[in-house]
Amino acid sequence: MTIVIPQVRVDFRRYLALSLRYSFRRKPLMAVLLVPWLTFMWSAGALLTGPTSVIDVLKQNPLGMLFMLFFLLLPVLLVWGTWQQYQASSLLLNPADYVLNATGVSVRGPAMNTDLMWPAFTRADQFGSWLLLQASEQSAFFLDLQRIAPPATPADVLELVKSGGVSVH
Amino acid sequence: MEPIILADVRMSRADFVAINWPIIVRKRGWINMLLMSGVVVYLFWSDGFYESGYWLYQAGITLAVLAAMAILLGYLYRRAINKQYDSTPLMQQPATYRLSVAGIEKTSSLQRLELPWASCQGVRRLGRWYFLVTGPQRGEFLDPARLEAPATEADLRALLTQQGLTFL
Repeated sequence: MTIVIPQVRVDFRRYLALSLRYSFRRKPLMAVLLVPWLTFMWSAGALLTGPTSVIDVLKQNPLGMLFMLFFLLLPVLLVWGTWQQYQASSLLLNPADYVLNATGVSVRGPAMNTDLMWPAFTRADQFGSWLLLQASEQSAFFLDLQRIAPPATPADVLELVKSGGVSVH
Repeated sequence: MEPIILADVRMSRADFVAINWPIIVRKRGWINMLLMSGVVVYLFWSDGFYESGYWLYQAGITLAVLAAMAILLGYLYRRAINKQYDSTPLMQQPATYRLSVAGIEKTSSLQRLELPWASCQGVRRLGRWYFLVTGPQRGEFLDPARLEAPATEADLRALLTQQGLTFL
């Protein structure tokens, strides 16, 4: 059985959302960071609207202020880093055709032409209509299951990935 | 120009650690140690640890805490590098590279790859290896020790430069 997913391209917002969801799935402990983040955001809000001035707090608790600034900037740094990554990847910037069959996956695009056997993949993660196929720790192929050429369905793709010995999460 | 062939290129675990260790130290190690030292000294200072007592004792305790942190950090980095190697089957397989003016062809038991030169953002020298950068944290490792005669390392460098790749 051969399944074709033509002209797949992931835009930056989708890439950011999928990267975040993937990170939280692989490292659930990251969610712990949300607690200090929310606390600092809340105290930053209280500081800006309340009676104490920023200068007073800076004098009393300079390290706390530094932490607050860091936590305020954290989302900005995160989005900036992901944007840099996205712009540096010719694979993400160009549309690619994916062909899946019993032996593996072929990727056809202007950035690269490659045939990968199933044992090259370490895991697959499904988020809604997207499937992330990983061949290394840092990067993945982004498959848009809504673009599968009929008559194949997303269930067929998942079946094929599983029969290739790749665990789907 | 004849294509340049590198046969049975294989990255061993030791090679991978040797390549990545200096990079991770340079990129994250120093800055993390600096930040952590700052926090440790600040915590000791705000706790009144430096106000009274013998200075050698204070310095000794501070350095001991920092040394323990450095060892822990180093252990975590090494573990991360090893994990990265283990989770990349593609890298563990021997591969043959064929470089010509048309581009790069890679063949291994797990992968067949055709890469136009335009997809390479540059080349980085890592120890004896040439690392062709193709994306963020992605690329191909070329081992000049696996060059097939009569091609030499000078030929390889000449081809990379001729294709407009800059050494990063």
